[in-house]
Amino acid sequence: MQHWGWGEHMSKQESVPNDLNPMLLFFSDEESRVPLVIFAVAMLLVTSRVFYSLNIKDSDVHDEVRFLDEWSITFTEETETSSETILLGDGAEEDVEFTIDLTSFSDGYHIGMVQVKILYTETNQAIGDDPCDSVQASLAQSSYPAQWDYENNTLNDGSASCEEINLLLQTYPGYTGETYSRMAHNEVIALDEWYEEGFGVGVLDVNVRLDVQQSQIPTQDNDNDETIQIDVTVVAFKANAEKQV
Amino acid sequence: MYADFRSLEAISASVNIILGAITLVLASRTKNNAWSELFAAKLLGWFLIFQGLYMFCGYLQGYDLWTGPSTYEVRNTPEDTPAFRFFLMAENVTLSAGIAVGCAMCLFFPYPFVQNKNSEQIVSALIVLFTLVFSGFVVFFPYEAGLIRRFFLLVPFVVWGFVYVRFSIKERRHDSDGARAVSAASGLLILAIIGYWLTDWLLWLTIPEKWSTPVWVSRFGPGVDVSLYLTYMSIALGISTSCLLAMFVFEGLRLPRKGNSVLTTLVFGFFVVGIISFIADLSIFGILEDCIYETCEGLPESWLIYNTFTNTLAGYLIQPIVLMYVLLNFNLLDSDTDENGGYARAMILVLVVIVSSTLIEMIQSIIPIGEIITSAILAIGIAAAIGWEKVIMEKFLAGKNSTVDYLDTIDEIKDIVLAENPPLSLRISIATVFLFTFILALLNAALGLG
Repeated sequence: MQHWGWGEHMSKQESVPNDLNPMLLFFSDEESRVPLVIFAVAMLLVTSRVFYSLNIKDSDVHDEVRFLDEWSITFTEETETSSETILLGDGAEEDVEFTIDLTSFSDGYHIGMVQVKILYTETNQAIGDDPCDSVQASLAQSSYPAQWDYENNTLNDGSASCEEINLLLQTYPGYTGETYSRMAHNEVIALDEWYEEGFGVGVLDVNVRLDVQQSQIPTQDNDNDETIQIDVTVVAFKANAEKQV
Repeated sequence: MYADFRSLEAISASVNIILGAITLVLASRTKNNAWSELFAAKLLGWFLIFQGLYMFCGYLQGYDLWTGPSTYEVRNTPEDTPAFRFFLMAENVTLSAGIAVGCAMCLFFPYPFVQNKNSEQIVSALIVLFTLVFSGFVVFFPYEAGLIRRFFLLVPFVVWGFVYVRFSIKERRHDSDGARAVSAASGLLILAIIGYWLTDWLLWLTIPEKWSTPVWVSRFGPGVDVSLYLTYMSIALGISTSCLLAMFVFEGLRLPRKGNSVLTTLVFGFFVVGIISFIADLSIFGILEDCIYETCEGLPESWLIYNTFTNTLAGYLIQPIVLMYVLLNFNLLDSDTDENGGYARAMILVLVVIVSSTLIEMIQSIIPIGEIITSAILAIGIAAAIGWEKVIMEKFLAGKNSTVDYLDTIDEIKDIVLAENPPLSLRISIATVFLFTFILALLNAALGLG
């Protein structure tokens, strides 16, 4: 038999007659019974207080952080058009610079795309109509912050029939202006891809080239130049999110 | 800077394992102590080892250092490799074993609630049973079973809280140093094991939801009953805060009469840190609110560093120091003989050197001090620790107390003659747990259980 300790207290063995006694002894001590009850009540109150704060008080916010909601993302747009008119000689080519910034737009707007329209008419009067001149226009890729590789851009086009030439350059990544839905925890996260600054702000070069078409009837007066109007429309947007019920 | 603290978990794991091993060696050499104290020492030794293994398995899984809540997935989750699954399962089983041992410990020390000649066999069987059952359930119901298992972790603190209050009253009424030994041991165990919850006690008592909603609740997906977790945390924080406040009241009343003590210093330390932490936490509530209604990318590095120096250190480094103090100062181990004294001194030196070097490295990571200077300071610290080893040891063991001696004087303990070579001893029980851990971890690595 192995014996560990206090053999000198063998006579006190009777004071703890069974295995349950230590537990009973502990709680039946009269002088500490009231403080133990007070401590138990205090522990209960503190625990209840913490339970209320954690479990009940903010329970509606719990759903906010745990569940994804469906948000409908729409865009409101503002546009600003600036025009430049140039006179180009036959075979001449010119880069026209447009400085684009956000000063003319409301707060919170971002530049989504730039639309360029080239307008011209045949100004020479001739019998049997002078044929329209040929105009080629392009947006020259530069350091202007835009999505130059976006597949739906129209970076160059031309006309030989006096029809307007339309060019398009997407500036803000992914911006098409179309409504879509997204799952997100809150409005800010639903709109998080539409907060980036800097896109579309800078100097845009529009390159225009003219080739004059001569009249087929001899003796008619022929012109050697043409007036070309360039309209640059900047489309700015602000994204809005609405929770779908 | 904060990333430098990644190794703290591994350091703490090593400290726990080393301390646990030395404790078990000392316990095996201890012959003259009361059985309940010796059994508690063995349990504490195994608790330290399981705690260390649990931490080490967590560290080896390779999770990123926590940097606060985030709207986006900015942390890399470890790849699901066989090694990852091995350590994941080993972590699961060692946690179960640690909780089982912790629950058992509170029944024997500082107040032996179980006084039976078959105590060791009963407890050993329960440790194995608890570990097998909960580790198994956690494989198939990780969330529910994992939380129910953690509820058991709270049992010791309730028990020690009551023991502390009762014997603080006894000390006050009878001016008894023996009663103080029981209450001090209980208080120190509470602070050691759940100190990391107490560094923010004022926050838990006032506005815990400011933290819990963005940090805890946000981690749970839609298919989980978050109220079970919050109920567990409410009880855990309620118990720990109540214990600290009770200790603050009793230590405050005791201080003018009896002067300072290790427990008093720690209680007041935690009390003050809780208030400072509350002020520090106020500074991040804006960020935490953004995590709910807007977006967030973690917490500021300055706050994370502060939290490491308070909360993390309380859990990782203060815990083993206090447990070692309890082991040596409350007669759980016989450190009086020369051979045992050598082990005890080694234990203290190992701990002092590891803790001081870790602290110096931590300070170096936030204050730009040259490595040569910190190395020199560390060398001075080690030299001082070795040179004054005897003085440190004496200070550590000053006023060595035995809780059993006192309980014997108030007739609350009985003499027990234990059976020699019982059929199920703690040793067999722990060996079974280790075998089970290894087999289950291997199976999980190979097959991916659950």
